[in-house]
Amino acid sequence: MPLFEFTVITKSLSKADLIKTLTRAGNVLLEKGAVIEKVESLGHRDLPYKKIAKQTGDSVYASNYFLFHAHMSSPARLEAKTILRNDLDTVHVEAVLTPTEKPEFECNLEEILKPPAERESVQKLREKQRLCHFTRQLIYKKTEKEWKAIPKSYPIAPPRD
Amino acid sequence: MLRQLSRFSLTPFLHRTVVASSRACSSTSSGSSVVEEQHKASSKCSDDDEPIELSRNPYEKERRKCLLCKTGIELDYKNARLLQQFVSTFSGRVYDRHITGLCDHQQNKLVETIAISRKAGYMPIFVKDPKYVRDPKLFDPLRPLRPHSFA
Repeated sequence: MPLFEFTVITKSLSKADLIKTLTRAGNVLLEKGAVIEKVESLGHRDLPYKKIAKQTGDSVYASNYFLFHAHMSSPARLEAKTILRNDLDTVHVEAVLTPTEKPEFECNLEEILKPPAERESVQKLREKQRLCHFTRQLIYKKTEKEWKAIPKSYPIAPPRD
Repeated sequence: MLRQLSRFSLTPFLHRTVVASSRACSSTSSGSSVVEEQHKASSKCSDDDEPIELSRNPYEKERRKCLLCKTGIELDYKNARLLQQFVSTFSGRVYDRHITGLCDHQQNKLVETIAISRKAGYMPIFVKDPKYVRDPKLFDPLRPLRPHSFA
């Protein structure tokens, strides 16, 4: 079962109400067959954007953040999330999947900092590149024009010494 | 001065001969054997004097790494303060990789994590949080790695 992190943001509540709300949220998760590993409080914080409490319509600017670490199946996660979102005391609920294995990677900044001619990605493009007849003609004409623009001799002979 | 220069140019050879002579003087009883040994050693050395080929360049520069790879910091959607250092103060949008100077993997991860963080209610969506506007700058958007596209 994958590990999900449920972020629960409540509206501003008294301590007794807060306890009730959190036990309710925990019970919802347990009913959906979750194994709760940890419950964290992230403290009373300013919300990044204004939220509106259900039913009362009060605007919430700062509130309590809670984090539930729960192992559960994906469909159960969706059901639990909808139930928690429809709870009158919550303002915002989101379940985020925590990745179990980190993908192996290598920092390719050195490659990015190279000039384009030495970059591997550009070299690949160049290998695959095929010029059509007209492009080839265009390049030829351009170089020809440049070549012809170079004066072969002085239009007026330089004065003799 | 000139003498010294000439000496320097011949140093390895000269040094060896000097050592041999001193040893011969000190041990007069078995002098001939020592000289023979020295001759053998010198013949061996002549083989060793050939240019050595190294498997890799010892002066090769270390590969430069991006900020997150170098410091080993993991991007987390709950760490909104760090994520907002990669967000423009003026437009509230994520800076591109030619400004942030991150590798491809880290930049992709940054964009994903910021999206999650905004969804989960840790980070404002359209702006950078005014609380964090005065945070230290990790990069200068006016001096990008490559010119801006303005597209």
